[in-house]
Amino acid sequence: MTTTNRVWTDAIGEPAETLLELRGIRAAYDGIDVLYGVDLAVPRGSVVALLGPNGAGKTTAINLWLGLIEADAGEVTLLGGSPLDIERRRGLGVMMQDVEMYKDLKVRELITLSSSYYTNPLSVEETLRRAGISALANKAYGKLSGGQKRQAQFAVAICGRPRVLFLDEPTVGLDVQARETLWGNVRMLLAEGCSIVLTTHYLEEAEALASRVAVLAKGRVIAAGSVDEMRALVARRQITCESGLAPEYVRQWPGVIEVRRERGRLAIVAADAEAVVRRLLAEDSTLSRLEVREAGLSEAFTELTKEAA
Amino acid sequence: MNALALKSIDTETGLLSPGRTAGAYLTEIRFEFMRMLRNPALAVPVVLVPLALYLLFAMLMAREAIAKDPALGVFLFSAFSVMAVTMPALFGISASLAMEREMGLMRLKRAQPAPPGTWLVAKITCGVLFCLLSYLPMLGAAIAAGTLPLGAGQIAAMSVALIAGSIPFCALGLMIGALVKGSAAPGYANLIYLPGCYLSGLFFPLPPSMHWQVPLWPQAHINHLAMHAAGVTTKFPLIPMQLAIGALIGFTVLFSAVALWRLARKG
Repeated sequence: MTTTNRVWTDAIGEPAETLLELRGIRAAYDGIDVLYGVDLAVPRGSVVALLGPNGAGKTTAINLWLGLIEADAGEVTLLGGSPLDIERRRGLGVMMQDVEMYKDLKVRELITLSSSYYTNPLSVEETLRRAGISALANKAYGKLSGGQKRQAQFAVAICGRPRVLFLDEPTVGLDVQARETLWGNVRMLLAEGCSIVLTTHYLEEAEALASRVAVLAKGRVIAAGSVDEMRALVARRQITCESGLAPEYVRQWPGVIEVRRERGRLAIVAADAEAVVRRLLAEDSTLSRLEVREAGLSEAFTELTKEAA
Repeated sequence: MNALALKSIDTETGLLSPGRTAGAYLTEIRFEFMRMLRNPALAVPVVLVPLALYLLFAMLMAREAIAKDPALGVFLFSAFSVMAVTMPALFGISASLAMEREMGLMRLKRAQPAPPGTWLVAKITCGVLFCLLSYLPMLGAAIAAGTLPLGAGQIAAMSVALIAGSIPFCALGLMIGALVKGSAAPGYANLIYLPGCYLSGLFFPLPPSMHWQVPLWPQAHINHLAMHAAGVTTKFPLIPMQLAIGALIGFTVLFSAVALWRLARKG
């Protein structure tokens, strides 16, 4: 498992400029620690996905960066200073979970209102275009579908040309096309130097977007690194094949963690995939359609959080 | 969809220029006011109810009495005007703020870099503007019907006192909106407002045994301040003007402080 207090590096291995940092954070609600000893840093031009089960402390970490709560101990840095400084907050955009906007205002008006807080915002038209919601500009927010509301919230989040963008479960309720649009926007913002903090329960989303991942569980960062580094933390691999061998028999082999039969195929989770494949080939001459797949972020996440539980 | 040539996102942070700061306040006020206008379920009752009650009681039921005693006309106008200026401030702000809190909007607003107090200024400004919308038709009706026997200067002074008197009720609305849920806010507002209307002696003179509790109600101070401004000071026992002004400022500070304290902690 990687250390929690790591220095992120950029593509050429140099330490990247840190835009956000939590250092030695302890935060408690009603006397119960929600975050304890947390160190996290977000370098410039990266998408950092905060992953973790419900109650892991992801939202608390974001709330600290947004200046909505104060830590009981430790240091919170936003763009080189305190998140309570309004000048620092002019560098951020935020799309929160469980937030409804003024339902009586049109999308265009919501963007106009939020734009007025920033020094050099995008024009309303450009914001609408970027978010892919020009057609919704004159619709009242209260008349939008759930997915359209998330798109409008995204537009509000990016209207101030943020250096740091917080996206809390951004694609909940979005259809496939809207999700692709939002992912495209995230990649575009990233290419322009924006740093993004993403929380999501969709691990394929984190896998698709994140350059860095931090897994939180029970108020601690239990792993942090690139998506590949996360995958590498999980040694096990998935083997599937068509075989006449009984699952109960294969389950007894060394290096096998789990075996089940799925749609006529044998699905094996193995800690030592090479040894298991060699034995499969040796014991079943009729074996066919053999596939070996590395663990995905999903498997890594499951294993890491299981260990932490 | 975004194949357009896009400007680089720059490292824009820092201070808003004075012009943009003023623009942020004005934009917040503009959209707050538009929201209130687009919510007729709130706007229509608060504008029409005080006017309708004034027309019923002052112009139909008490018309002859006012003709005999012009001070009664000022008394009734002041009483119903207090109602007109306080209802929109209290009910409009408490309900809207409580709902915005439930929607998570106050958390979003705290995270956004709005200049300090923009939403607060917008809510109070719009509360006062709505009070004007509610008050002016009543004033027009009273002048047209001749039930307000005052000179222009007295009417102007009285109007200023009444409109300024709505500010403590904006603050009370903020406090209620900051403390309770959206569905409960109108109930709590009524719980404070209705007893205050009667126990402050707004609509009828109270027996001397109840005079001790009159200064506890903000309505009483606005009403008495308006009567002082109108120059009708001998007919009814009034709270001294300085005390009324001081009490209204005190109520405003107290209610606002509770609201801001609560919002800073809970959002």
